[in-house]
Amino acid sequence: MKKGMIVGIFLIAIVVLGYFVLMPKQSENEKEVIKIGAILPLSGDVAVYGKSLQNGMNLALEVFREENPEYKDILIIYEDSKAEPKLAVSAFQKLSSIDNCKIILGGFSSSEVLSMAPIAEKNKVVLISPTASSPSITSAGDYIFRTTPSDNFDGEIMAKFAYYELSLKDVALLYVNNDYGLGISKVFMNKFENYGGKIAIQKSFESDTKDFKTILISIKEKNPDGLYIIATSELGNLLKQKTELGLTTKTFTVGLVENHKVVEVAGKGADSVFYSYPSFQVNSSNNVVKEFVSDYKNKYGNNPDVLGAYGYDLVGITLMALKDNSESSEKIKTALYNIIDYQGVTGKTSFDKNGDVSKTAGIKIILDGKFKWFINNFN
Amino acid sequence: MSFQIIINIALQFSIISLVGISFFLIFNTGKYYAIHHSAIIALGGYFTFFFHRKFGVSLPISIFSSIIITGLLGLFIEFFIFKNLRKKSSETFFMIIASLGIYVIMQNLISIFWGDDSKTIRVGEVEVGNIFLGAYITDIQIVIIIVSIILIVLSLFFLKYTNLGKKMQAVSSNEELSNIFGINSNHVILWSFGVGSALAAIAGILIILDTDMTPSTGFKYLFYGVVAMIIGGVGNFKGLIAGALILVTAQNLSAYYIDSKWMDATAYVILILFLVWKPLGFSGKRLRKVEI
Repeated sequence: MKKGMIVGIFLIAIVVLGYFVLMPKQSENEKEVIKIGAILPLSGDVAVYGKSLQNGMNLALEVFREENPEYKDILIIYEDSKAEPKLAVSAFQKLSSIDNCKIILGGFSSSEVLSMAPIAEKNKVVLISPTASSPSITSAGDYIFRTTPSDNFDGEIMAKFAYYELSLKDVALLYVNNDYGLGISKVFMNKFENYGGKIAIQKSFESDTKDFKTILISIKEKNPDGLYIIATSELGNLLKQKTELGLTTKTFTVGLVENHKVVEVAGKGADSVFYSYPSFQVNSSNNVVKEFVSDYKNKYGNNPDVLGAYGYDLVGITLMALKDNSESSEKIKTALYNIIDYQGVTGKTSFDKNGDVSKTAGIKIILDGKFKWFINNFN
Repeated sequence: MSFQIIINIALQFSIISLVGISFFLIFNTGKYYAIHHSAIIALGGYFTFFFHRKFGVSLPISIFSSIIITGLLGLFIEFFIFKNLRKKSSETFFMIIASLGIYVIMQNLISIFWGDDSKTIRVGEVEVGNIFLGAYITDIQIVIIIVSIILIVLSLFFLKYTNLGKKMQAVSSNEELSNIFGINSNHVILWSFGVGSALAAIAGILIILDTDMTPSTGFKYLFYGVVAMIIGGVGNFKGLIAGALILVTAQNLSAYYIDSKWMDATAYVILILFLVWKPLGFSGKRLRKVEI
């Protein structure tokens, strides 16, 4: 009995070993295949966003294969990260060492990207995130790119909008006391004061604060022309309490407000609030966008959302850089830095020396609980 | 500076003293810092949200059943866990660690069931509040102040004049002696957990009605409640009310004159000042305790 078991284990070991010995030979035969890694949240809380990105990415690959038959062997290998940094890192290791991907797309959240960045730098693997927006990714490394603008960009665009479009001279600033809030508010203040505006009062609060009544009163007493709110989960409550206190000044905020849960909490308080948002419009007259929307609708049966568009552009950019440079990641990296004004469905993309982009963004407004465009293209 | 600040102070004072009293009741007899009480506060709000929004039960019935269920839950936790710990004459330190563990479990369960985003129950539209002496106050905020004041007065009467309330005070002042006099201290402790948890549930419901609720919301309110209790002198009911008033006033003034991010820091500064200079609260009275 015991002997039999040992022999059995031995046999299994031989089979497994043989399999691994034979494996590399197989992949040598497939040398032509170019593999692109992708790490997205395909299950868990934010799986919806991951799926949208994946749809857009697959569509872009399909279109590219049709247009370039010589590249029909190119493929994207998806790994699920559940938006958790730990899982993202192991997915990254699998893709870079087992699948030998030279370029990996993804990291949905900033924390995923930041935890993968050091490994990407060390192994010289290009990492491009479609969605990570934390300012600290700017300095994360030479091989790290993203196709979404840094959060700081929100501050720039809003300063311009407030001063030139709304003609506000005297603005109150209310921000959450963390990296996100501090980053945007600093950029906003600089820009707004450069244009000639004045910050009437600035107040900050700890994240997860519930009661804003007292700081809202101190803002109300200064009677500013406008109020810029930089908050995350507190947005709904803040807008609600602002309305209940009869503070009717023009209000503008960050793109996170486009969330039905925020509007549910804020109720009428969210009405006529302006915010900046990546400009992508399903019914745009732009030919590139028109084609994308009809292709997407044919394939998936519904209209693409912003993330679908970002996924589409991400793969478009990747393939453009990969086209003649697939043999080394260094070449891919250089090709990415050399991209100038890639005309995609989310506007023009070119990377700066940090691998960051500035994108065309628009201004939206909430009317009767609905998110409407106010200015489509604002730069 | 306006009358609005006084309204804000009154509003926060009512919720924090209500939380403080709910904690006072269980601390007085249980004699340990029940950290899991903050999850009980949150659950009061979450259960109401659940019944009202998921099952479409009318708001008064949702509130009523939430209070009952949360009260029973607090009672069960005491009965199945802390009663046994107490029987084995565990030190307070272990009780606090156990309570912290239960808090983490309960908070995670809330996260799993209801998610981490903020939940709210909206009664009517969000609109400009009623104007009262130049200050704005919404209907629900008026309800909060009235309900809290009624409950504070009722709790005072409950402790002073009812049989159970008197027993609680007896157990609080000397457990062994009250056992000798025929009071079943375990029984009384259980009751105080039931009543305390039900009061906490009411506080949670008032919070979710006015602002919103996340799984960690209860902790902040419990912290303020405990600070109010320490300022007022542990075991001193009227001191607790005064402590809540001092704390809330200081916090609002610091938010008004400096910044809102200093609200928590102000609470800590006051707590430390009192712990160093007036460890028995501002009344400074040592509780009379009959020693055997």
